[in-house]
Amino acid sequence: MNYLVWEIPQIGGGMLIGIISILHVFVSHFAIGGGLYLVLAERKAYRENDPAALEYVKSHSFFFVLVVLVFGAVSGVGIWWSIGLVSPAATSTLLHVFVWAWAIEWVFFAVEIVAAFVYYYGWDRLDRHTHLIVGWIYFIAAWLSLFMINGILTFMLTPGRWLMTREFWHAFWNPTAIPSLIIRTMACLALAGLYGLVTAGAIPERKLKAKMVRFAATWLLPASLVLPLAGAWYISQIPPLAREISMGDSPAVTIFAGLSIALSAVLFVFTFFGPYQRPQHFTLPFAFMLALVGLSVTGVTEWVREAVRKPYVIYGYMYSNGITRRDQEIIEHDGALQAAKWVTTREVREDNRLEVGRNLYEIQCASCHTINGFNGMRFAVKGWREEFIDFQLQHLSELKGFMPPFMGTDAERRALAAWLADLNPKVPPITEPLAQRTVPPIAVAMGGAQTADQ
Amino acid sequence: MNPLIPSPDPIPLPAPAWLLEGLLVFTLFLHLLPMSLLMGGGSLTVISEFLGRRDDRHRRLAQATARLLPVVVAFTITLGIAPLLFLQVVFGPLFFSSSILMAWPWLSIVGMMLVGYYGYYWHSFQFERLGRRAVWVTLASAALFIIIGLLFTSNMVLMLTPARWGALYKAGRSGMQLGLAEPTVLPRFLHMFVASLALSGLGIAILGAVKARADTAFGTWVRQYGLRWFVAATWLQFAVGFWFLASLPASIRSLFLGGGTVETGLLIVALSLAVISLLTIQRWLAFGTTAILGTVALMVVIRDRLRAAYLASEFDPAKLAIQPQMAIFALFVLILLCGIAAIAWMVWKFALANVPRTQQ
Ligand code: HEC
Repeated sequence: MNYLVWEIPQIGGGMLIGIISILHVFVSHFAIGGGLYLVLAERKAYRENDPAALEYVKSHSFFFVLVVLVFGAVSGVGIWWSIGLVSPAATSTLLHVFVWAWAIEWVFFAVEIVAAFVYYYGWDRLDRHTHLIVGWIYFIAAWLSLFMINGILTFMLTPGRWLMTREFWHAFWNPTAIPSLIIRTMACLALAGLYGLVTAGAIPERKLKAKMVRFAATWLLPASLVLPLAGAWYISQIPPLAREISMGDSPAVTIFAGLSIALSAVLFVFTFFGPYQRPQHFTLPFAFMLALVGLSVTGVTEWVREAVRKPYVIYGYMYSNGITRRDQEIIEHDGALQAAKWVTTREVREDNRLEVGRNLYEIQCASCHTINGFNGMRFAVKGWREEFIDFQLQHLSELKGFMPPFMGTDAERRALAAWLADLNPKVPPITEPLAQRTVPPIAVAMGGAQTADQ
Repeated sequence: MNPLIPSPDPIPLPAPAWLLEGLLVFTLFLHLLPMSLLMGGGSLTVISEFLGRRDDRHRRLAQATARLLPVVVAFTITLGIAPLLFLQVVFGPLFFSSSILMAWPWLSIVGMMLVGYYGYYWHSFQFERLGRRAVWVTLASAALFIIIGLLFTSNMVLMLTPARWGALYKAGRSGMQLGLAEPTVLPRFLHMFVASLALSGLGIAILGAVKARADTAFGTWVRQYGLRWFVAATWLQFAVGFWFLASLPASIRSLFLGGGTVETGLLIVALSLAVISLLTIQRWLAFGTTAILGTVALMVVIRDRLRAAYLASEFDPAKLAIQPQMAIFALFVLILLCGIAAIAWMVWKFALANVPRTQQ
């Protein structure tokens, strides 16, 4: 309500962030595990004095640079860009709580990038020993940057004692920080193995291929042993409501949570009986299939992690729509239109109820809903009469545990109900597209608007 | 104060505003160096590639700069993260608002960066294979990075001019504004762009000086060629810079023309250093380079003062609540020093081994 809302038709902001972050997570975890994969594979080739294997590691590192340095880095910037646009208030909170953590993360990132370049361009220039050290520097810096980000990410779901103390270290070492760090580290190793399978699967020479395929497949094994335990630990630490959402209360989230476990199991079983046991029969299409399953696991898991945080973006501190508990008090006192900055009107009248409703939708609902698309408002209230909608708005946080309550005056709530009711035609058969019908002209002089925030 | 400016974050700043702003200025200076080489270097590579169809020296030069461009992109992005971080912490209410007004163009930067970056990689690794078509790849990438620069300028101006927000908001709430229709955007962008041509010319001159050790004739030619760009673009900059100054709102402009002691003083010193650089660089490359880097550094400070002047009645960072986290700041400084040491060690090792192992 402090910031203006960027409305993204059809997909909504959450989905936009989701798409970018899933791709980023998939690549960035590989970026970390892959670093270790490179140094260990390189060392193995030296020890076994196997020039062909060394050639493979070199070509893998080329692939690595193209994927990691470019896509990994740019998509990471992409997440930052998109969260600032979609959830500026939450982004601002994370920046204020964690500025120095971000700054430290940036140092690690910079070291990581330089190390990757020196490693890649250094194949023919550096002596073996130095080259390996550079590889280790890369991996350590990359893992440390995960270490920093992990503290910040987990804070959003379990801010823990920070809610009371506002202490940096309480925020960073929050209840899920360690289990999540273990999970992510395991995921890094597993993804390194998956990418390794893709490049090893492409080796033409049969003996070398079998050797490297088996080597790559081994990387998935620690994850299959540790993940169930770390996962259980993690789940034991998340807020009860979040646990309920993922275990029955929300069918969609529950299905996805189940899929995350099932697909991981599929991945490990297939890797174990496929490339690990019979590396000589491994084929490239099979490698791509495994990688695809890996991407799906990443996708559903990240999706669930985001979904269970509802109705909050920072648990117990700020709702998904950027309204903090403190803002909530202000709204209860002054009304939502008065408390907000970017609205086209500040009073409810008989003739502007639809406009008011539209504004309130934008401030309070658009972070999770769209009008006509994903989680569309129009479908949510279909078949509901205005009075019934108004009744439901009074119980929004009970209707679905993962929605914040409606915040505002009675008149504002009724205006939102009127706008919602107006999304669907009163008489059943739908014949005309409704998209444009509902938006009242924006006709208020913004400059003349008064503020009520201070 | 403009009623649309969001209230500052309820969580206090974790350090005094001057420290965060100081870091913003310093890291922006670091970012601007590779950023200039990226923007200008892309364009100069395109030119050399076209000329290289007739002139073998240009072909060789283009090949050398094209090889460096992917690394330059990586440095630009990496060093760009820090100033953007500090900018968002201190000026978040302004920056987020202006960014959301131009959300789609702003987000598209990420896509353009990805494509432009891959373009340079493709070009660098497939230079021989691409042959005459290579230039089109460079051209596309260079154009994308120039568009990115323009969008950056546009947003940086939009965040300083909240008076424009209401009208843009009314004109559409789906984040499609470009914000280009503002008299200072074009000269401000050109000011940056011409500076990047100059610095890229200087970069090429330095490259030539290095190449001259192995191949005197070629290296000397490269050095002279680069310096020609540097000198021409810097002279041109006097015109563009004054156009930019003239386009500023009168009250702000006057600060730099005698009205403000600090502002005017900074500008005079910066311009003098540029003149000194122009006069000496042919003879003393290192000295001239140092002088012009001084100009760039001062310009970043001037830019900060310009921002303060724009925001005088709207937003004062010094008034933000603070609650310092000095222990973790100290940790950051320590880690930064370790990071710099690690980077220096790796680069030193790499530079030392300047003969490829296979060619020994
Ligand atoms: C934290 C995210 C979030 C916010 C904010 C939010 N909702 Fe929801 N809402 C949801 C989700 C998720 C669903 C469930 C969709 C599903 O089950 O398919 C939902 C469902 C609904 C439904 C359908 C309920 C049913 O029984 O079918 C209505 C009506 C609704 N929301 C209205 C609103 C209104 C009005 C607002 C703004 C005042 C709002 N929501 C804000 C997340 C949110």
